Amino acid sequence: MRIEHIRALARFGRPVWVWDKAKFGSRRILDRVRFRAELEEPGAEPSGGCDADVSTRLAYGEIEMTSPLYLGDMSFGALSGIPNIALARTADLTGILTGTGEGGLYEEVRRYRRITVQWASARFGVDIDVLNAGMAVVIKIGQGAKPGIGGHLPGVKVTKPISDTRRIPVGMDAISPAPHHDIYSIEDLGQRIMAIKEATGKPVFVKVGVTNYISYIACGVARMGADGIIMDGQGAGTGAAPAVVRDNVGLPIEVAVPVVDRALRREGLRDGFSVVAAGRVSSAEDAAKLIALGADCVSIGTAALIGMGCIMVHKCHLGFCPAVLTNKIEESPRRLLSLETATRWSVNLVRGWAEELREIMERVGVSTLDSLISRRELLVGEGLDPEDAELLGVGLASEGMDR
Amino acid sequence: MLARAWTDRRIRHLREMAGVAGKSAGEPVIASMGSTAPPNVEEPFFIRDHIVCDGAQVTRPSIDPYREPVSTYVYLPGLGIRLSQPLILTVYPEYPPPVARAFVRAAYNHGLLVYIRGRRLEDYVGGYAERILADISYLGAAGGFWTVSDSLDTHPQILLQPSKASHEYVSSAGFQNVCGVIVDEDAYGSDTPIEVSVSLLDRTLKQRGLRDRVALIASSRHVRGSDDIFKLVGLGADAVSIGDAAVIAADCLEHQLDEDTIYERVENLILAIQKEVKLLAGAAGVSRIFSTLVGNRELFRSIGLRSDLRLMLGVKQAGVG
Repeated sequence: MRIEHIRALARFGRPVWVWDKAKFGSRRILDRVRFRAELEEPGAEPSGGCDADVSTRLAYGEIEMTSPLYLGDMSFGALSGIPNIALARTADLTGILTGTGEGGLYEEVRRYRRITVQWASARFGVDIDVLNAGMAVVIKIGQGAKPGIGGHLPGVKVTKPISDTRRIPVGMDAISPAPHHDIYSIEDLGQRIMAIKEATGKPVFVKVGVTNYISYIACGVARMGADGIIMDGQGAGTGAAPAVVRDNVGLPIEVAVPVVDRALRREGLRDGFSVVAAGRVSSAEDAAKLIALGADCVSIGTAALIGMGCIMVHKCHLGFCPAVLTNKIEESPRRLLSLETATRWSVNLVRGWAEELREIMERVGVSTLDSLISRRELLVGEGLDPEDAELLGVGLASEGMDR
Repeated sequence: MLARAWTDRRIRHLREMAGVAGKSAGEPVIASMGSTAPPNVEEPFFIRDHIVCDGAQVTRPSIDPYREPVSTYVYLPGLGIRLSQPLILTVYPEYPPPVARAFVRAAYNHGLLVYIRGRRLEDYVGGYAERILADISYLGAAGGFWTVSDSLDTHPQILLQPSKASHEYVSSAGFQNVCGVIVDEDAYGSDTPIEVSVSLLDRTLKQRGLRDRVALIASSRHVRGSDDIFKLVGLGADAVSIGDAAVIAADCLEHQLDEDTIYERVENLILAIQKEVKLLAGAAGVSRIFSTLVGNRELFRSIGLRSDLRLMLGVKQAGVG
């Protein structure tokens, strides 16, 4: 149902529903949190023409976004080229931001403006021109699908074009180091952040997976001068990861966002510092709830791929994607994704998503995105463990509406 | 309920590791896209399905398990034995003789132990006795095994205990000579999930000052892979025994396979489990299983577990720093 919803958004670019109808019966904590406004008006239908302001600013105001969406960092190699270009074009056309992943900056992507470039543990293709190419630099420490484990591009997908971009032998697994070998502490991270800022003058984000000590990590990242943190929760997508790590390591994003938001505020570090929430963000309502829990912006990866035709066969690592999104990059491919169609679909997705967000904000009663951030009192837990509700900072539905 | 715990995903995973399916025998299984695992998507069956492991980042760097050493050795204190990884193979009574022989050989060759339950030993022991745990009542002519019994009266070296929340026997006089305990979830009288009884027993042994001379082994037919092993070790076990997981991985009950084929598959499985344990350990920044993982509950957080269970396990709620 979620998948069909994303496809409908991508196809028509118009809001499909106000409240996420796919959340019922789910085990996910975020799906058991609802807006109080939904309990009052559960059957709301999109009215169209909502004028809530969904624009936001990241990185101490340096990056303006028309809507709080960051298209996740998916590398050239994990995706097959055309989708990378489509995502970058989408960001330019809609005024949001897209990440380019760790696999070096693809020439066709470099010409777009609203991209971030990634500085990951293997440093594939990173030089000063690449660092200067985007609006911001992302230091990738970890990702939600495999916190503590490095990037992995299986050998079958390391073809000649990838070999040229990443400067690695054809056919060999490209496994990035698990840690950055020059970042063994928060002080080391501070030095790298400052070095990148001095070299480029651009904002620096730090991307981490959500783990046990996420609030301390976030405070450290903020204290060391980064402009934002991208937190990637358990269940986030990946091009290839050891199944045992993907299935057992890391915490869900909805647990991390309020905890980190509170910790940053306690330390006086929250103002201007951006919190980007990623991992299983699958609808505008998810986005709105994560923002109300304390994020500034959400990141979508799998949803963006579904918008471009992904049918979720879970075989990205084998290189024969039936939707030609994650297939291996060949010099003379038999089938190619149409760049025009892919771009149209993902632009539609972003616009429809933003419209749905406006619908939700109107029902909730906030007119600007800023006034939705950290508004945990707008949310209520239903079927949620009381201790989880306390951790999230939301009330419980059974406690009545007048809290 | 328990049969459903062996989901298709689990079975496929084990068989890919054993080389029955897929093309990368003896290697960790690679997957893509988002996880569908419990507790967030699939139904959680056991307490361990509610437990998630840590990933080390920045403040505490992870260890690259592909390039840096992660030592998986564990020592069984009372026995003075070193296992190459926290793994013991159990031969249950219904396993056919070729399976039993393959298990014995694989355990011996890989520096593990094999526990042969409920059957006579002569057929299997050939020179492998030092790596065999055997029921005290089934001892054959050969010597040198480790003896296991569920009663302290028979003076076993290793005590087989049902999975229970109370551990009064730890202080009893006869216990002084026991060098290890197997907590067996399948034994008659078990009434407590294995995670809880292992965690409680680990702490009881520590409180009584016995932990450094008594090995703690967790045994259940429902240990389904390296993640279960990793979690039970983190909750306090020195080693975890698997039986059905290996039989399912080798796909050797329905098909009449010869001993060598089973041996090869079990060997693949053992190697792959070791690599997966290294991945989990490396991700959590653990370089040595025995000194850093055994009983290290701080590496875990729980999702959707009641507070009384969390307290018994000693595992914090997800999101608590």
